[in-house]
Amino acid sequence: MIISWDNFVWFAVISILLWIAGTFLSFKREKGGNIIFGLGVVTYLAFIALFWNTLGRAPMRTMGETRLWYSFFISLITLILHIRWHYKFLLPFGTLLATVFTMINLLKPEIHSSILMPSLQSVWFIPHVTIYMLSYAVLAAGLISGFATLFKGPELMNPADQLTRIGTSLLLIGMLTGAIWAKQAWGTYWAWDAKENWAAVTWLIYVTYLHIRSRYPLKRNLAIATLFIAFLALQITWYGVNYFPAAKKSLHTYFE
Amino acid sequence: MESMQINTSQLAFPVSLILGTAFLIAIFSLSAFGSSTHIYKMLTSIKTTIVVTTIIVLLLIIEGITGMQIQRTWIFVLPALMFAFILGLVVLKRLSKRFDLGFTMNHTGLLIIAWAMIFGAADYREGRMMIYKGGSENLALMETGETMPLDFHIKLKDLLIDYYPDSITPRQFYSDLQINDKEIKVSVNSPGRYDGYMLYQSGYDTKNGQYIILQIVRDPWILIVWIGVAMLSLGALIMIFRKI
Repeated sequence: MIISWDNFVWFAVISILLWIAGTFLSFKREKGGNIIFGLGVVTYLAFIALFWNTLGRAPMRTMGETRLWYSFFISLITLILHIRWHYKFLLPFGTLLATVFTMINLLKPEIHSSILMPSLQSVWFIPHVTIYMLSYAVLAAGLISGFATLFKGPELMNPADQLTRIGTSLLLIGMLTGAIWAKQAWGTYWAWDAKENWAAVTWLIYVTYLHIRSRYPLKRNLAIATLFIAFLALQITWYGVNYFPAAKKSLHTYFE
Repeated sequence: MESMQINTSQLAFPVSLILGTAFLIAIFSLSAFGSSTHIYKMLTSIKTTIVVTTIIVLLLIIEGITGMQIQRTWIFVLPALMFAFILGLVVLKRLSKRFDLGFTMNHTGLLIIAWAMIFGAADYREGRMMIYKGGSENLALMETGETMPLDFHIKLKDLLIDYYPDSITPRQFYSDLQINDKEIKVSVNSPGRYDGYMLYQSGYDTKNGQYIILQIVRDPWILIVWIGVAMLSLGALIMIFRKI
């Protein structure tokens, strides 16, 4: 089966409708909300799998392709968290974020051929990108939990902490796999490349959040402000960095 | 920024190792004998940590926006040294109280990487050489313009470009090298190794397939970095699966 960006709209519409229906059912306290939402996740994954099969390489190279993974992970993680913690804000938030990134892909698909340049042909390619996208999704859920404490009370600080701790650790593992890969491809494990510097900045700010939480547990507003700044840094690392002058020299620019 | 670069030529081995060892001894001595001093209390205070971390973050942001290379100037190296020093003090302070595997792996791993990154920088050598098919070369050109002579000649026996089907886009570049009696195959993402040097497929004559650009790297501190990376990875995994 040949599945390309042209077919994406159908999978996307079905997924989004299932996500909305699942969210709606959970809000009405009806049964099956999680299952319907989960079917949306499965539909999305089906597109990624078929698209991968058609391309003959992992769909992880372009911005459009990484957004696919982000939408998939964000919907999957919010579902898992909803099953575990039952917080009402999780499914609408997951639906919203996954839909936004899906819409960006529909409007600006950045269609690419199956060609993968030699520098990306490595066993580290898939783990490096997947771990980062997973981490970005977990950290987004962490920020939303953090924001929710402002309205719903401090008991939500626990999920915010757990998610940020896990997300920051994944961020670190993503960075370390990147370092190992860089040594193999470029000769140095750290090239002071713009994307690398922003990744380090992002990680350091998230680490600051974790230290604020363990040392000053009562300074919640300071912690949430730090979490927000860290999330902004993450957005710059992911795509914002491409708009800075430093990106011209970057080794991480793959969409020509 | 060029004029502010630290001249690392005088800091190469054994100076690098002596300085690195002195740095570690300084951390140990201050922790062992000076823990009641004013300077120790100031360095291990959360305020100092925040100030130093903020400076490093700001410098990385400047680099990340403008592309200026400040990491080899004192502007960056001084706060980085300070960061590693504080990290060392904090690790010893915590270890003297109680042992926590996650904490130790994360903080010691980061300290080891920072230490090897700072003191090993002077021993890192990287150069490029152009070798024609059938020819051999023993001089690499460094980015500074200096030459990097090798004790051996690298011969390019053969080279091969693998193309995507029905396309002019290369999939992979392969080179068959020979150094003395040893045959070495390199391709992108799969470097070769000889006598402490790593050989990378860096460039290729895509038009006529007559020459390659080989990148030669000597990075003697890399093993220490990998130890730090392994510790940090373990620390990260502990953080993921730990319940609070």
